[in-house]
Amino acid sequence: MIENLIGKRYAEALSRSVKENSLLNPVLENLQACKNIFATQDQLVRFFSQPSIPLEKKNNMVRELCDRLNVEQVVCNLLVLLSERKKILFLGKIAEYFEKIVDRRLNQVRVSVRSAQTLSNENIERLRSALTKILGKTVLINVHVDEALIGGIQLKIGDQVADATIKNRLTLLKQKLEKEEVA
Amino acid sequence: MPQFEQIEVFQSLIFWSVVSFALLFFLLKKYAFPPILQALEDRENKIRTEIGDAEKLKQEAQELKANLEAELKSTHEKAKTIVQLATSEAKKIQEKTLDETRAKNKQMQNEMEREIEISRNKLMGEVRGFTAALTIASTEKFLKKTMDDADRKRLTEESIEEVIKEMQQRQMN
Repeated sequence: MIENLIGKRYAEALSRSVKENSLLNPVLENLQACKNIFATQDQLVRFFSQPSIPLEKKNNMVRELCDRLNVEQVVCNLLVLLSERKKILFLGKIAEYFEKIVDRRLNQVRVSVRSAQTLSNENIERLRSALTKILGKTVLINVHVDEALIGGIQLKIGDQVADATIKNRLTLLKQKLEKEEVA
Repeated sequence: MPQFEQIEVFQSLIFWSVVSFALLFFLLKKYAFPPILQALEDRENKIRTEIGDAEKLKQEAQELKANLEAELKSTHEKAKTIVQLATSEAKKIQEKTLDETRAKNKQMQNEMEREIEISRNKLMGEVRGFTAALTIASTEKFLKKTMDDADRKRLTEESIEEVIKEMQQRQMN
């Protein structure tokens, strides 16, 4: 719970400090890159969660990280602030909320598509144009190929799911078979 | 008769005899009879009182006897009632025990039946689950094997239209 609160608060603060909409996407990319580094490097997490390491060292580490990743100034400021307030490990949540805020500000929606086979460009365009018309927002499509679905695609927009895969149909059939009373 | 011819001889003797008898009688009546008579009367009175006492006692004894008999009778009745009560109580207890045992048996039977039903349902559920899993697995295998690229492409296009339709419906709702 507290993680969500912290994530939300810092994400909103970051959004207020980024005035130009054109900067939103680069800032988001920077945040996600940092988040990925923390997610993959356990050593980094241990370094920042270690209370015996002085704050100065941690701040220096943050600055070096910013330099190497070549991040925007606002992101660097945020990371230093988080390090000072010992909240840098909530970066994942902050990035998650910031993504939602960016989507809201740019009037866009992220659509995650899982498909049994690689989608052709026509397929993706058909989806994009239809969904743009339906939702009235810019649609960002992210495709994952998952052969376990057997056939068809599955759409995920926020917490909504539209499933038209063979796998899903088989699961429904299985549930029906299991519930069926034997006379 | 010669004996009566001598009366002349004894005439004075008879006279004195009568006089002395009268004197004796008078003395006796004056001094001896009253105490005797008194004693007799006392005795009579005593006997009469005793008879009365005895009768009273007899009556009392009879009353006592009647009382005792009545008491005995009531005691008998009481005993009879107690026995009856005890018998009916025993009967009641017996019936109650019987009923309880019956109820217990019934409950046990019901529980067993329920358990059997549950086990049966569980088993049937498992059988259904296995059958379903088997069916689905073989269908999956079959589909994977038999579908070619054209099928997959067609399926993808169809599912894209389906998903779009679903989203449209949701948006309208």
